Amino acid sequence: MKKRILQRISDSAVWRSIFRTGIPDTDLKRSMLMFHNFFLHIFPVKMKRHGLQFSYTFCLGGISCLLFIVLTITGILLMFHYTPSIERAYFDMQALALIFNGKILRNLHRWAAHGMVVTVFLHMVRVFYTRSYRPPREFNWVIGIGLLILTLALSYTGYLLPWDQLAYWGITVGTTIMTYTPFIGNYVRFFLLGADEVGHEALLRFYVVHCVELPLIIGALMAVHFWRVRKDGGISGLL
Amino acid sequence: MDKNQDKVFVKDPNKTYGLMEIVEGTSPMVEKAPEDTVDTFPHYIILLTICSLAVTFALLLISLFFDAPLEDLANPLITPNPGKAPWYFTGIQELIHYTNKPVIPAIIIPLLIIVWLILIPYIDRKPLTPFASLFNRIFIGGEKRRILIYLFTLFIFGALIFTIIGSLFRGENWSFVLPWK
Ligand code: HEM
Repeated sequence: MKKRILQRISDSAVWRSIFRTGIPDTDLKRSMLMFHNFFLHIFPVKMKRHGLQFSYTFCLGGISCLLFIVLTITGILLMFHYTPSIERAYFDMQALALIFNGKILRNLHRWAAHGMVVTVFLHMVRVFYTRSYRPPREFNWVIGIGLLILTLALSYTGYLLPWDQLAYWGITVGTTIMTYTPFIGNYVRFFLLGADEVGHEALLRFYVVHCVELPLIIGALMAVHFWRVRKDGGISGLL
Repeated sequence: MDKNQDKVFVKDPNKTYGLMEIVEGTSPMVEKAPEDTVDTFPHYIILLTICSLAVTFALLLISLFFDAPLEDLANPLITPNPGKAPWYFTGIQELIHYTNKPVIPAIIIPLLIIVWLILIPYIDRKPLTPFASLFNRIFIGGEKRRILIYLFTLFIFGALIFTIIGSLFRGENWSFVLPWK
């Protein structure tokens, strides 16, 4: 009975116009299901059995990616309630607590951001100990280091946006560390802040970099990273 | 056919016939050695769904019970003591505290670590020349890469320890404090 209903639905013209395969009860249909779906075709049709083993990858790369997706969704929603100006930013943050679910939106964004720094770092640690950077995966490791640095930069630029004491002094201390660069230290800081001190220019700069530039770059780099995982033959073999 | 499969289908130039075998499976395989693979759907898709839901749910729980901090409005005239960078940089701050040449922990060490990390896959490879093999023995520690593992583990624990001290155990004027007091 249940099966017949499922069969009817998956045979219907509407269903077939969206998903080209019916109930995936044969190997062929299972592979078509993966292959003919825009979102799933990023995965291979078949995978090495050990690649699914949790204790090999701990899903850390995948979790990093998931957190990035959560951050993108909550981040875009937060943008509807935020103005990057020193007169309004802090009060927008306060007002957020009054909006239905506004607080949880901010919490999700905050904890996912901290979480992503942790999972990306742990992912690197996993890749190192399983020695998965060996040929042909050398360059994917290098892309990974780029992703790690970008993740830190994303987290750091977001840190200023609430414009509270924590944000202001966190960025002041951080950019002071950068002035220790020999010869060009003060220029580096000026370039980042758009002024000599953390102020309106810095807030606007960090806002644009945090909401537009870095997400675009990290998104593109992630696409290359995943592409290469597949082109290099999937998850590396056991040591 | 790739290299791996040549090992399974060993070719004998004196023979005109090939070897075939009946192997258990759910679909026919042509010109392919038996491989240890599974269908992505459903095996992997189920794992992916469970893992994603679990992480999302955990994140929701955390966000329900712990609020993101929001302190007073930014005020350039009131300097908090100690002023701290975000937690992932407090390790560097901690290191700066030990020296009066801040350029070393603030710039040189992080840059060297990044360069070293990028180079890891290029120095840990099969040595082909005697020089490469000497290089490998000094910087990697041979096939078991003992030295590399030692250095990397040192880096991880160093980063961990300095970050923990910097963010939790430092109070006014960067003096040592216990977080639970
Ligand atoms: C935004 C950050 C990153 C994301 C979203 C990401 C995502 C992923 C995913 C989903 C995989 C598949 C296997 C797995 O989940 O473990 C993977 C594999 C890999 N990642 Fe990353 N990654 C990131 C950063 C890094 C970093 C920092 C490194 C190293 C420095 C790195 C190096 C690699 C390598 C070498 C592989 C292949 C591993 C293998 O074949 O076993 N990735 N990455």
